[in-house]
Amino acid sequence: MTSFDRSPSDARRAISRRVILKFTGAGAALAAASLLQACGSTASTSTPVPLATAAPAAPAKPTTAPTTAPKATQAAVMTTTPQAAAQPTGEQITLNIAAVKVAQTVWVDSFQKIWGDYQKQNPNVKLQIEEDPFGGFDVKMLTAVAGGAIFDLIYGWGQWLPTWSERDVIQPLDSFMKQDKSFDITNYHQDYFETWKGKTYGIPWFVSLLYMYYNKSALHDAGADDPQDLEKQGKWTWENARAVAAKASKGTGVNRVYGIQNLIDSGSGVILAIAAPWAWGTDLYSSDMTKSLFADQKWIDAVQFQMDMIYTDHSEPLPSETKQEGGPSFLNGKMLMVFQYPSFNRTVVEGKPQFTVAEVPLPKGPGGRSAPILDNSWYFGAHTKYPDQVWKLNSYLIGPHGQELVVPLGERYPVDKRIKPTTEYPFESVDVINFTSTIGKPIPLIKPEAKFETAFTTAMDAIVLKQKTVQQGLTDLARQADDLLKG
Amino acid sequence: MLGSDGMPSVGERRKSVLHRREAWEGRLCILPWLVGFVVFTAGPMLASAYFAFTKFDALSAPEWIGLGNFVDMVTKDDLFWVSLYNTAYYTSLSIPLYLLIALCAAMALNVRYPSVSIFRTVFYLPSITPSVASAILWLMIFQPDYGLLNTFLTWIHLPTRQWLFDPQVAKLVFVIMGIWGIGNFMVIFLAGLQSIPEHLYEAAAIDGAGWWARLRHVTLPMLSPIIFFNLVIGIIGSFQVFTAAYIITDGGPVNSTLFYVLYLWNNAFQFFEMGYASALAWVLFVVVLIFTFIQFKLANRWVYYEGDLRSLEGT
Repeated sequence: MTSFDRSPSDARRAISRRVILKFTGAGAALAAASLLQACGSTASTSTPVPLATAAPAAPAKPTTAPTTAPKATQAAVMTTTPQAAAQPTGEQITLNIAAVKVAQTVWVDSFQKIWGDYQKQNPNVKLQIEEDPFGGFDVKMLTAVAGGAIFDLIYGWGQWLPTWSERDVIQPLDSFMKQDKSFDITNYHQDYFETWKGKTYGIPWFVSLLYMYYNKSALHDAGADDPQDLEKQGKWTWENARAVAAKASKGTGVNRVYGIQNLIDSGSGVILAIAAPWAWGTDLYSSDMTKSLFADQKWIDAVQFQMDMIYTDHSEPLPSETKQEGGPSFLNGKMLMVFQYPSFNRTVVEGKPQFTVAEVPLPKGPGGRSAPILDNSWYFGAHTKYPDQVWKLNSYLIGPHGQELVVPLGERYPVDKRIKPTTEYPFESVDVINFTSTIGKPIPLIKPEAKFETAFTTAMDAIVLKQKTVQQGLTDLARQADDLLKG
Repeated sequence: MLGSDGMPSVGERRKSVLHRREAWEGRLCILPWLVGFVVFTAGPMLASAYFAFTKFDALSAPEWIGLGNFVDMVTKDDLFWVSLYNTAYYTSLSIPLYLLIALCAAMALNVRYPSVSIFRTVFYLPSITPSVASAILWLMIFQPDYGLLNTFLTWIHLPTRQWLFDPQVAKLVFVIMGIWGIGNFMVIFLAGLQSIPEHLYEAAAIDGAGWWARLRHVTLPMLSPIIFFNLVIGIIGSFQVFTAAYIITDGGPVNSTLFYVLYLWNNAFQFFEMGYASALAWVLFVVVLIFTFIQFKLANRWVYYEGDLRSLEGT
């Protein structure tokens, strides 16, 4: 029987089913439309995480992610406790915080406490945390803000600052610092503030400085001088570091043990390589940021020195050999001296090396001694509706309680002068931390950071792989960097 | 059919009403897809066509610069040519190699024995492995310092290489890595092989055709539409090679693995040159279109469609 042969009652039943289908279809279409609308709406570009499961913030730069917590800290930090819960005042607000996701339990726990304590003190403020991985975090923020998302407070890293400020993702703090009478700027290391074009965008809540970690046992076994002894004698120079590395290097092929990490191209780009030209007394750019300095003789000498360690001494590996695995190479005894930021401490402890680890400041070069600083600040969203509340939250984070919780986590050097540096592991030294802070130097920033980093990495690859001479590679890089500076 | 009054019969009217209803219900059902297509595919495509003629950083309003992006691309941007060369190199080596290997694998698996389905699954499995996971796996093989390959070469006293970090061979390594993902080609070839009528082989065998003659005069002609399909899809896909290079080398060393789409992505999401990236995307579209057009033109000469008039005329 076809539908056309049906009786009126059959037809009614058929129509009835169709009506049902029609309404079902319409309902489905409406649901789909709602879904599309939701997907397309700017509000949904972020995925807020309930506070109970939030894991905000991260160490200074991407590191391996140990999963167990270290021993209880013996830190000499201030012991202020959060104030008693304040009474609700004013309207109930929600602050959207964009944070970097970390895997380390100790960070997760600490930051849950940091956020939790703040909410206890400020019951009218709800903190909504969105987490994203460090890799690509800068791009995520740019695209999210471009899509209309509003973040009140954003996890920051110095290298992202120029682009974010120029693209209206974040706003300067100068007016807040001026207006808040309770904010005493002299309590902070102002040299470490994150600035761009004369404006302050970030007050670091912790600072990372570059150190050298070394395999004390292997150097001793090789009969090489101990860097700590050389440091005490005032002889810890790049020349002597080269001699130590050459003496301790041994083996061939995949079994080669290298004395020292390749500094100019270890896969970390400028943040590590910068230590070489600084030691030779030059920089990335002229002080007025109008001209690059790569073509200077000092740059050529600094890079040539590294090349000699690679090709003459064979005490540094090719960049390819460390690009992916700088830390593990140290832990498995295949690289004896490495340059790392303090988040490496926990990696060392987790790695349970079968040798004695020690740390020293970076060696002194012909042009002096400097250690790159990596800042970690919280930036203020350019479009926040609650700037005063954000300032209050930031003051809490960089204040004694926030610092008390974050400094022991590993980055070691507090920006708040009232808090003393802390150590936790036997290979750490407060003296080394304090000394390194005196030679700490921020890495110069330029706006097209990504383009510069790409140009820099490519140039160093070409030099180290001998596709270009040192002079030729640096001259080409200077030309590109000058173009980037001109915008 | 008309009724006695010259009007459509009740049955016809009912049919007409029902057809209209079904048409509307059909439209309603495809509406979600249509909205999705317009909003998420056609819309961005049109927008990117406009952005290609602008200076646009995705955060400020686009500024119309006419053909500026295209002129810069051709006259000033060395990396555009480098990335195009890298991609063309990859495509020209990888596609013939993948098709050949996939065809051989399909023929080897086009037999009837009990465990063949297990082998088919094993061969296809890499195709559904997440590309990020497989990229990391390959990195562990080709890592120069302690990768499996160099460890093995050292073990048998052969010279090692830097592989992914040697500009001379890095692209070649990506070609080798891609062999792992031939499963898709293989499955399509296998389906094609199984659709070739058995009587053709029997007739050829009666005529004294050996294995090679059967392959040349039966298998390949009958399979030519499938080869053509895989060729077209493969070339389009190879022009979009991205994930492995993004994860493993990020275009290095010295831009030797800077493939076109990776460079496009860098411009869009690293440098925020959205206008320029859009222009790059449209150039890629045109290049792929030209290649596909040429393939379709050449296909008339070698692709055999059973029952197709042109094919019959050609015989």
